[in-house]
Amino acid sequence: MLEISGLTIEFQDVKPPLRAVEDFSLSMEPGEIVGVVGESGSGKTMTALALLGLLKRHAKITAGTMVFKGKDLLSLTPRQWQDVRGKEISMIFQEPMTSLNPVLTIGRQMEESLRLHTNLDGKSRKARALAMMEQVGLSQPEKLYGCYPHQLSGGMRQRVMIGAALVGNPSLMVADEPTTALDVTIQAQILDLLKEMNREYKTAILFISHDLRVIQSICSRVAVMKQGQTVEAGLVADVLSAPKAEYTKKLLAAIPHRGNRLRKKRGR
Amino acid sequence: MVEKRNMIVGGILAAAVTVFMLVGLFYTPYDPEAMDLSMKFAPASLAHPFGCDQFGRDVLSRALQGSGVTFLVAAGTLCIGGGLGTLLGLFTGYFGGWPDEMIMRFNDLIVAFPSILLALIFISLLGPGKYNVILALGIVFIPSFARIVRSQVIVHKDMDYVKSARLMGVGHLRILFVHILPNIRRTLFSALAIGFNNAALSEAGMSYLGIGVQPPDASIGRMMSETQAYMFTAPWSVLFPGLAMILMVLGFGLLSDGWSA
Amino acid sequence: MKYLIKKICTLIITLLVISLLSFLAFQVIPGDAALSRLGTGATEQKRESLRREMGLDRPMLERYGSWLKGFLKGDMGESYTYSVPVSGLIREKLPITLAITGMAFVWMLAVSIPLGLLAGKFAGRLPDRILTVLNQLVMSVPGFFMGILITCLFGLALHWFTPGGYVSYQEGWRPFLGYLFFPSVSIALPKCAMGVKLLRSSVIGELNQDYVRTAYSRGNSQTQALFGHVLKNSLLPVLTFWALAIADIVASSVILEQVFTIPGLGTLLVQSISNRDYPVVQAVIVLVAGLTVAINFLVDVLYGVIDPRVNLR
Repeated sequence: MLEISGLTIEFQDVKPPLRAVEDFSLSMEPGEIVGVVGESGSGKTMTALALLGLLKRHAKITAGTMVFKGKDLLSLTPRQWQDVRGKEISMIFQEPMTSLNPVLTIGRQMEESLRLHTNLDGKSRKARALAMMEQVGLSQPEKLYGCYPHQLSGGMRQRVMIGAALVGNPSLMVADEPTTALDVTIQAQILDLLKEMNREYKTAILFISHDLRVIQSICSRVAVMKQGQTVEAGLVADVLSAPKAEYTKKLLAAIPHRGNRLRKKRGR
Repeated sequence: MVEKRNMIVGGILAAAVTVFMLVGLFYTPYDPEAMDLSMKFAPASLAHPFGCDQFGRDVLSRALQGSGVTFLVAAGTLCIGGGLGTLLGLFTGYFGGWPDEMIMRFNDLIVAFPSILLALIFISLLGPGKYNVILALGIVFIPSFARIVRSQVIVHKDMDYVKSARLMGVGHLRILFVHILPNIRRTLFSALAIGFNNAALSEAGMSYLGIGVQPPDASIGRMMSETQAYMFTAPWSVLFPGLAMILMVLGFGLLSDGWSA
Repeated sequence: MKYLIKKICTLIITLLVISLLSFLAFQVIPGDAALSRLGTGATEQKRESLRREMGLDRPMLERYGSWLKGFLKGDMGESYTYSVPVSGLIREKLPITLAITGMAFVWMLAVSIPLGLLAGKFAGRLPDRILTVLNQLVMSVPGFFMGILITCLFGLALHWFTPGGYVSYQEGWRPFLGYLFFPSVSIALPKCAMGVKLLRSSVIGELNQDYVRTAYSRGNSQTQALFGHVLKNSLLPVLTFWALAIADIVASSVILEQVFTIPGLGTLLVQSISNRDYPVVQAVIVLVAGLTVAINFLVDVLYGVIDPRVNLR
């Protein structure tokens, strides 16, 4: 479904140009959850933004291809990008507070993808939005519909983000550190929700995180990035049990009480 | 980069205008009041660089004298408004408490009110004239300075350098004037530059209305209300003084932008 | 709701304080009000009887009370100069000034919103650079000089209007508003410049916010994101400026009425100050102050409507 190969992204506002991502390759099947892990500055967020054509003006893709459902993403016009975003590929972000518009109602933001990509009338949009809010675990959707982001907790806001990203039923959702800004208990709930949504809607998820533990609990395959380069890639189980790269070992060592956690998660 | 360039341009303009005004306080090439009907509406020439007005008076001399008075009024206003406002802001911001609360409430009230109208109230009570304009504008300018300085002091009083000074036993007054005041100078300069503009503009506006500076003191505002009718026949009699004001406002405005950046 | 009640309370207190202050201010006028009315040749007895007639012998607070009551009923005293009720004078002039300031306010909004958005969206590029330079220039022109320049250009050179050819609204609203066009533009121009500058920086700030990226990620075009998401957010800080600008607009209208010889409240005020016609000065000041404060109140309420977060404070 998604085929990225040799992707290279450079910052061109500095001299010499700075390589943020170098020769990155990844393929995804429908309904799959794939992780990209690495510390901040490793280029994982750049990769995610590139997938939606949202790179800032001075960051340029200088080599590689991105093919999504037979479409060459790199050759899309701005107009064609608009038809991909929110409809085919959607995205959720790290900070649910700042990523939601503070002055628009939850309902307005939940329905936005429908408003932009479907011909549904207001009534059926609202019905779809309310159903989706229910699905992402927001109780009393009717009441929340008219609320504003600041009236919600962090976990609820991230649920809104997820719901708004899925309401257009995209084939791929890019999740950029969606649990990092949340409390540990809320983190687990959001991860469970993402898994559930993945089963329900068969939406593939590209999951980006600095936390191997989180990747391990949700992804089937993983790519490990360091300073723009892919140091290791493969099935999560393989990479974690027998890391080949020195860097992956270091990341693993940074996880406290790994054994306990592993067992617990598997027990579920 | 752009800020720095603006600031240099502003600084040069402001300095040039200030020199022009200061010169006007002490020297004019002709007697500003001397009428010479043979020179009525004489255009700009070497002898009269700004031309002559409807009574044949030298526009440059009148503009010089008028700007001198404007400078006096603006400087006086800043002394009263800027001085008292800064003091008020320093103390209320530093010590807080109910006097602070009360003064700030009162401030909120005044700021919502057109300042020139406020000045006009004072003028209607005190009567027009140079010194009354200074007094009226000075009083009217106190709140804005107090507000700006207060907000800065509140930020600075919790900074480490103030805390450590306090720990070392430095007295409150010394902290306020020796430690905090120099550190908020950029904000203060910026406010003073804007205040200078506003004072000069208010003075010009009031004099234009005929209730500001009174004869025999000259004023650019009054000059313009007198020569406005001849704008078409003798544009120089209006344009040059107006241009001088524009350059002043532009210069001090850029300077203020530069300091506040 | 709590926000609204709080704001209403502030409004009432502010209005009371303003009325009390202006009442007091005109009580301590140098020279007795009665004296200035009779002139210097009056006998002591005559003065005393006039003082009583005007109620100047009663306690201050009582006089304030009755003055306020009268004021609210529309009884603002009698003009010293014209010997007619002040309320009549004001009723005649108020529509003129309201029309100028109202028009100026509309121009300010109509110009600064689109230009501010434009400058913010194209920050650093040509349209923005041109606007920034123009802004700085316009902001540097003193109000009355702007009026003179506009009179000269559009009145004397282009003959688009007749300077001094004011038409009263009683003779027809269309020519009346037509004459007010250029004065209101002169008032609005500097405010437009300031508004564009503020909105520009506000838009630039908002465009960098995360929620804009979210908007794009859902498939919004640049224009859709600008109008659907950024506009409302970036208007919030500018709204405060617009509230303050109202006071400035009223102040400039006093001056610009003189430039364009319009017999509005401003002209009345200036004449009354020159003539020491205190009842008129007092009434105009209180009225203008009241209006300014009331409009500020409306803007506060509007702020609450646009920004949902306000209600929590």
